[in-house]
Amino acid sequence: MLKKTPLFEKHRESGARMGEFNGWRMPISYSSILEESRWCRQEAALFDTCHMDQLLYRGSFERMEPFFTRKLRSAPPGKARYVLMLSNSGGILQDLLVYRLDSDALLFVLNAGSGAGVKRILGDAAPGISYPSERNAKIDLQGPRSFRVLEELFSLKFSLKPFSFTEIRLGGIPCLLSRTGYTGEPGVEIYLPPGKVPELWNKILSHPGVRTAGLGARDLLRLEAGLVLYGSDIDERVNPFEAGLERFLDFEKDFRGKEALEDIKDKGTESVRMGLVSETRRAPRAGSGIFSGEKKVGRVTSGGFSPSLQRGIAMGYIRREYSEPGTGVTVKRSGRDCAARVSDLPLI
Amino acid sequence: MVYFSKEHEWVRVEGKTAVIGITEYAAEELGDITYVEMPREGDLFARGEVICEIESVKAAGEVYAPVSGKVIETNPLLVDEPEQAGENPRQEGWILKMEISDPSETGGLMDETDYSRYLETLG
Repeated sequence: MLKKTPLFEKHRESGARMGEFNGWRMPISYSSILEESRWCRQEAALFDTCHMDQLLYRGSFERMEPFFTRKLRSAPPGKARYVLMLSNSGGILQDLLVYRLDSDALLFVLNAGSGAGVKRILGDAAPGISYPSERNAKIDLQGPRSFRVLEELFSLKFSLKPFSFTEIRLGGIPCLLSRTGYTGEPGVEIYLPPGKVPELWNKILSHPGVRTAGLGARDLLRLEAGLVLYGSDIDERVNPFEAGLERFLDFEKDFRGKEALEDIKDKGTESVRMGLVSETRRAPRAGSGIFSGEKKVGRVTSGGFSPSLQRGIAMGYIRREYSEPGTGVTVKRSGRDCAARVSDLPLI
Repeated sequence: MVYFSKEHEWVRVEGKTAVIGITEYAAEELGDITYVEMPREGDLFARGEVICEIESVKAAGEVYAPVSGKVIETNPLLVDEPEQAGENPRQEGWILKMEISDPSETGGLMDETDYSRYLETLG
């Protein structure tokens, strides 16, 4: 069975192309994935992200700390942090946003379908983990004009700093408004009661500067921005050093996997996550090998066409000797070659 | 005369020349087209061989030679504007021209009416 978000009927009415994503029936695109991506880079795009999982925690932070790579307490109320959960051997079990709600409450926002697994890991150690019953739906407004749109629609003065959030009523609906996102653009994620989602969705869409965008555009935007997708770019087989996520590790605290990582930190890793920019419009695709001459030197984990660069782009893991930006490589997929250059992330 | 293949290519026959493109159905299935990998002019293809590859934001699709012959021209517009292959598949978005080696092969293709019926069977 596939789950539907509160906007399912709206998507169908608007003629969206629907697809399956982690157990949910989601809009892939409403018109053109490329157009929707461009609109988000230049204006403001509205995304249905109700499929993402959320967990609420009330209780001692001390019991939670060992599971996360950054100090939960270091975030004051009103701040969100991107953190990792690791295995004992340093592999990445999960990446998530942690919102510090108040002195003893945290909100975890996870990939679609990840809630149950994380709840199990955390719940065994500490009671007090639950699925939030209210405000557990989410829509994202992303793009350089997002803040202006909110100011014009709701007569407010937008002053949130990156990774900050606030409780606010938007058109009378109690929301948690967070300056975060997954597109590389300025924007917000709005948490609200599921029953109120269609109302707020319509209200925001009534602004002439806003258009809907689907998961297709969302994936291209996050790829251009160099943001990882769990299950594609990171998983338990890679550690944060390979993944280029070491800045989200706090070695001053104790956390699961730290010992293994200290060892890895000293030795270094064979490969590292880098970007690739195709020499043509041809897109490297996930699963393809990266070659230098005849030698396999890496693998592509996400790939697609970049509307911003008008080139194929990708990210993947490549051996350190070949990871210098500008290095020429060949991506091979079912016998067809795609010439590309290694690039830093983000790609735009 | 315009013919259609089950793989959703159209073929317009002008004397010994076949102009080839994809149908609206194929364009809709692919979504935004971002790249067309063309064969070289002069290359020979037997009917059913992969003659070019089309990439879209969602997928990669293969175009099969609907008839046997030699590639005599590829659409230069599609180098910089590959999306035309999907947006105007029957006009500006034609893909390539072939010199037909065996005119009888068009007998294995459908006409517009048959193709419409075929699409209905696909739901």
